[in-house]
Amino acid sequence: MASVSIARPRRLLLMWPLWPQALLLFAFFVVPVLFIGFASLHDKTGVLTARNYLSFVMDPYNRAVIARTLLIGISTTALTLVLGYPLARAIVRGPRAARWFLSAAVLFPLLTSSIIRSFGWLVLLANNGLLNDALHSVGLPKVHLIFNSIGVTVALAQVLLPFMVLSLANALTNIDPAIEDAATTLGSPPLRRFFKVTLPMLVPGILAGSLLVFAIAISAFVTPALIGGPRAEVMATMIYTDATQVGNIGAASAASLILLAMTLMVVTLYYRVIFSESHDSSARPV
Amino acid sequence: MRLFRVSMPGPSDSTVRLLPNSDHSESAASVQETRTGPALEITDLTKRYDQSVAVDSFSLKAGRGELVALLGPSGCGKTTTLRMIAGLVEPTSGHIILEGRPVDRVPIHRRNIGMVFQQYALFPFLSVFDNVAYGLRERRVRKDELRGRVLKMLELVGLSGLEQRRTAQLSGGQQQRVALARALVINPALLLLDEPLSNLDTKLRERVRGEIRDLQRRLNITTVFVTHDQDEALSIAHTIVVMRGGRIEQIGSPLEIYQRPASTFVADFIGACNLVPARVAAVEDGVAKCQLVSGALATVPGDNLRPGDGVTLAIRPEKLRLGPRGEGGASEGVSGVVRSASYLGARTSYEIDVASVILRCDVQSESTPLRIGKAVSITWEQGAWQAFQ
Amino acid sequence: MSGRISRLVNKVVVGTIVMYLLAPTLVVVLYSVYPSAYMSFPPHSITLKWYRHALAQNELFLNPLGTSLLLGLTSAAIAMVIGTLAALGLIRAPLRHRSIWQGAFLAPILIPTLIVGFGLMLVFLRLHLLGTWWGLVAGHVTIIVAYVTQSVSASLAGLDPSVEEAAKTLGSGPVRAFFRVTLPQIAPGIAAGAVFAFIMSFDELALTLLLATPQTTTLPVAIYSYVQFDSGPTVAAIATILLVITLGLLLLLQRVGGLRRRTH
Repeated sequence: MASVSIARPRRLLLMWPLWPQALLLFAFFVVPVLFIGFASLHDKTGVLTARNYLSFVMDPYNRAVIARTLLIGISTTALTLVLGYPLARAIVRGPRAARWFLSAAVLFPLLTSSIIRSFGWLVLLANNGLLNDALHSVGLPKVHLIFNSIGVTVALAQVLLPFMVLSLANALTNIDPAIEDAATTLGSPPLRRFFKVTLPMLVPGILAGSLLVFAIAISAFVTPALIGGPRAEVMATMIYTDATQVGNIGAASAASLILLAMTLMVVTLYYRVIFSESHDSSARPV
Repeated sequence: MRLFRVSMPGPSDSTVRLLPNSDHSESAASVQETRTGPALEITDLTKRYDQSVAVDSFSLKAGRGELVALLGPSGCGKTTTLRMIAGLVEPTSGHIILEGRPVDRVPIHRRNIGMVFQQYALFPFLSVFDNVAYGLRERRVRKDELRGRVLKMLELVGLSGLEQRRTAQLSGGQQQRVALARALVINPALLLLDEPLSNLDTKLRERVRGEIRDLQRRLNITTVFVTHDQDEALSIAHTIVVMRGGRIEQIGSPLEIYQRPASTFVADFIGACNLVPARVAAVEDGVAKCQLVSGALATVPGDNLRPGDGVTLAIRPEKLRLGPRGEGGASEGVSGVVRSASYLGARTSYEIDVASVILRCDVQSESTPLRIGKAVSITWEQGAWQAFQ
Repeated sequence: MSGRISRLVNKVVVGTIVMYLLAPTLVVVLYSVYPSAYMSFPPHSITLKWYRHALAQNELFLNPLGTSLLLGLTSAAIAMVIGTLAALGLIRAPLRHRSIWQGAFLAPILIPTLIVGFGLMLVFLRLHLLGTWWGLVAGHVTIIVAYVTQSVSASLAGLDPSVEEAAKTLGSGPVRAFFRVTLPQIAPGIAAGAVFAFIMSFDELALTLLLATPQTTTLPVAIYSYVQFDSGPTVAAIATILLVITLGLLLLLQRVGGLRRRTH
């Protein structure tokens, strides 16, 4: 479409297909966030105050929750990175027959409800769950993977692995295997070749995948709720508890806005990485 | 093997014009004009974008049944011009009159134009039959008449029996013919073709362009045809419009364009051409003698030339002969050394180094080509060179 | 020699990771046929009694299932219309800063649904709309519409514009050209987006937790509440039924071809 200078009112009229979604998003997205902002600046008696935000950063419990949220975010990202690369590589470079199956296996978890997956992890990781029972029967000690950050990380990494794999696979397809072959003929063994040649070329894909996984991990609710429980709260579960059980709307609102800000920051960085690397348009987030 | 069947009656076979015509904007004798004037008349058509002019004052008159080729390098504005005629692009200024009726304000779907797109633009979700029938259905043609016309047109383009196929199952050449059938079945006043052959491989391209030409002559439909391939333009057009940078460089018949190019650009763009800078040595009796390199002289028509003028001389490689002076009517010439020889089958193309100016000579192939480094004489007929200022 | 070993190691590694990916889902299906709630491995027998039990559960299962299906269908249908229009606007309308618009319209996918739900809860509290059916629908449409927009945008962007131009030269005005030529071509994209949106609505938990009432409980909410008390195989059976429904829709998605387009 050529760059035509159309008058403002006419252009607004020509944009009519956008209005319904614009109105929808404004009414049910922007306005609610404004309400949250409003609520975060008032306490229970309706007085304008910054107390919610202050106590958010001062309260030791809150700080522990923030720390746990970030820790889970980082460790989940790291885990998906380590596990995602071999899978991505197999999908891109592996034998044709395996490729379809692997792709399906990667996408499948995305489409099953997080409730189902979290429940499955519950059954697997519980103190008397399947894993511990199997370990017990061969004489190994039990592992405590439930109601703590480790369990949440393990479960969350499984849920988010597909996002990382997609990002890495996308980056890998853009790397000509002949470049790696050239490095091998010049004398690099596989491990060194990976660090000296492949890794530098993968950096944008790694960055994109990591930002995406991190953004979703810090704002996750279902998995930490089921696996972490009340003893290992993250920001999302704390917001929920504050909003419904404790009834502290002000605190929940402040936490919500902070979480929203964090998520938006990471997402913006993610978009920056995606579009600065002249990715082709298929590398968009799901 | 003919791919198009001769089943539709038409005017008697019109041969391609070869006779020169001094008025370049009119078409030749065998091409008729409608009673109210030319079939297509374009006046000062211009398209301006924010920073650039894509088409600058394009004017053309075409008679009924005339095939006009818009020829030029990419970016010369030929496609934009075609799209303005179709109504897909709105002109900045200028007028288009089709069969006596101005179409400037007429929306695309009412211009009664048939268009064949470069990538064919077939409807992927419709069968061949439904693709061809689309325009007829929009015109509310009755079912039985519609069926008859579609089948007849498919037969004409050589696709009988393929009506129920999905377009994705067809080869490139077949898809192109569906596109052609679809555009022609509606009996448009004008046929527009946007580089229709560029997606076909070479062998097929030559065959199909001959068939397009025959079909166009048979149906006597006014046609505008965009191409960057000069062979295509030369072989099928009645009139060629050479374009560059949005403007018309020259309009004329294929023969005129080739033998009397209006500028060095046209001379160089159509076919190969030797272009050599020279200086006018003397002018007498309406004839100028120009000094080429190493003392050689060439005679050219002397109008508007004065001694001392700098000119560019042009001659086609096939007009240069290799051999001693005075033989076979060649009376002017120069000496040089063979620099390279390319054997092209029927002809051999030599590059001759004449005092570090390279002249290309195309001659009929001998059993053994001349050796590199051999000293030769190049000769030409008097008046064979053309001068440009 | 080392090539063969490293290939084998690679296969084992990849195989383990795939197991890790599929493990929880397989565990749920497995657990649903366990003889008792006791999670011993391996089970000494299998039984379908939990399914019978689940299918008899009105409050826990059948009612919420119906609610989820109705909610999903309604939300997906509305999202389909709004999202398709938006995609048309994003790709075709004369926009300055098109990429900003696209970013804004697609952003909801990456915003945590919990926060959207919380905000809506505050709004509905003020307007006394909390717990209403249409309030829930509004929330769901808001969080799933971007999937439709994304899918239809991708479809539109891949179209050959000259096909529509050809229709116009053949006599179709702009409106007819859209309905007769553009719409049939993007229909798979619309359908895929709608199915995907339905799946997202069907599986949605966080927002629904905040906006639902006992009358408007969806299946994920019911499961979530129940799991707090009793993590027995009944829940596993219900979860498996949920899984089968989602898988069935996945197959529908595959047939429509939308999934293939999404995976670069």
